[in-house]
Amino acid sequence: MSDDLHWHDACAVDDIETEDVIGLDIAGKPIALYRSPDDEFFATDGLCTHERVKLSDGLVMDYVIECPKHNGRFDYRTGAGKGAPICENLSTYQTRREGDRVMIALPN
Amino acid sequence: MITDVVIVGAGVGGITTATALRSAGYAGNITIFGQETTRPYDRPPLSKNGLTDDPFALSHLLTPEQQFDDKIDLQLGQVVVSIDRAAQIVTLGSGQQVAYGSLVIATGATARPLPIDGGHHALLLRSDADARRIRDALTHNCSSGPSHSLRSPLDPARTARLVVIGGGFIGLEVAASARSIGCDVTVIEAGARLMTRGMPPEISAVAEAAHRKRGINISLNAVTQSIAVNDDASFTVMMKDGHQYRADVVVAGVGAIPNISLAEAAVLSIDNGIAVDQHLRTSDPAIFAIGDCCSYVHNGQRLRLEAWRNAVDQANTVAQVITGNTAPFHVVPWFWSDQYDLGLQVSGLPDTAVSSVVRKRDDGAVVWFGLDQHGVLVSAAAIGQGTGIAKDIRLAERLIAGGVTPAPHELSDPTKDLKQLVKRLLAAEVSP
Repeated sequence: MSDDLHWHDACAVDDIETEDVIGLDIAGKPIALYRSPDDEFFATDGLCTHERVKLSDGLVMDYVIECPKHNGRFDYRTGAGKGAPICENLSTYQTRREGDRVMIALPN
Repeated sequence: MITDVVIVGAGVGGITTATALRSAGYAGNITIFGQETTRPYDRPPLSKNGLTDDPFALSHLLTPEQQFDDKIDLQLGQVVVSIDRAAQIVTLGSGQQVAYGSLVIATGATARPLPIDGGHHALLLRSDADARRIRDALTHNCSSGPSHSLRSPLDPARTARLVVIGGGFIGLEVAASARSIGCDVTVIEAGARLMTRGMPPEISAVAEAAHRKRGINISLNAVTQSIAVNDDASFTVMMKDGHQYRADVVVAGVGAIPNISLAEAAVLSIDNGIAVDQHLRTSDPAIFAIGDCCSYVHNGQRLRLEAWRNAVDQANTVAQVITGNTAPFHVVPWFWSDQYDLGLQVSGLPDTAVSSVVRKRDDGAVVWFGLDQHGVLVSAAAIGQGTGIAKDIRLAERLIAGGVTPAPHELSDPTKDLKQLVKRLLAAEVSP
């Protein structure tokens, strides 16, 4: 359904450190953008599914983001929750690099 | 019919036990008996949005769909009154009897009433009904029935005066919430500082300054003697030293008492809560206890924690044990509190530290690290905007779990990256 996607310029590649996350507001939508240990970029919803807490304040270790409050863990590549208290997975969004920019595709 | 797992208590511990059992592949019957009739909900928001938002939407722990998918038999408004350990049967208030293979006691704790003359005038906070009562008293939007003439409604133009007795987490959260809706708030604490039980002095001091800056009147070393009702339905809180405070609402946050009567009647071992072993078994191997009602051994010391994450972690462990995994319960204690836009988190037990260092971050956040006599990091605590301190505490938790001895300057220097420290020290530990 790529027709329904719109690519947004999210940030510069260097705005995120390796194995870290930043929070962005893209077209009014909170997004968490991750840079993996092998320098790939991933994007998920910006708020934890459990209590609407900002994931960008959470800790990234390898491919896992930990919610900053309830210790819920997600694989940020797939959005899959890893055990209680998570009962809902995170939505993920496509990303791509264009030069030194990171782009995110959001549904229209 | 045999019900395989029976869970007593539908708080976060009980509900998480049920869902974690299903996640672990458990296929037997799961029945939860909850005393409250409200659908199971998360308690932490009660002292925050629960007091400021009207209407306030409860955060439910289990959706009806999830309950259906996980085949959880959730029975609300049911009190388990006794356990027949020999027959492995519980009896409900209705007289109904239910057999169990494993029984999980997750009965939580009850807010401690204020043990002074007139102490019953102080409202307590534990349930959604308690939160509603406090919210109504603060805002005077008493719409809970025709008999709200118990206390004369105050002039809405006047600011409600709240006295909070107890400067711990709950008391300060209530104070912050009430202040944010415009109440005139006084916090009375018997100890020499705020949050004596949960936080180190350096973090208490930052919190105290933040509360004072927002206009909260704080009285330390202040012992309450009595509460009296005045003719205008307001209260007078009398202190041992003769001071008096006038209040429209009094709330007490002076600790909690573990709900152990069911376990006591069944002659299970009790030691500051229901005593459990490292697999969260009580003195009866078919019965487990988790959360606020149980005490377990942590680093050689028996500990009872009243904390959300402890209940969740223990629920996950008990689900593992019931499904045949024998990994013992061992996690670093962790708490959080929200006061205004400030987040507080603590990992490990601050009072086990003999020395400490403080990291002052550029964004104003303060992170405290506590070390034992061997220089091992045993606790960390922090206060800062929102959830901005979470990463540092989470990293500190890994260092604490690893039992490492970081150099104090690496902890105190805000330019030193804690994640790199974790990687270096924990990698050094696992390498030969």
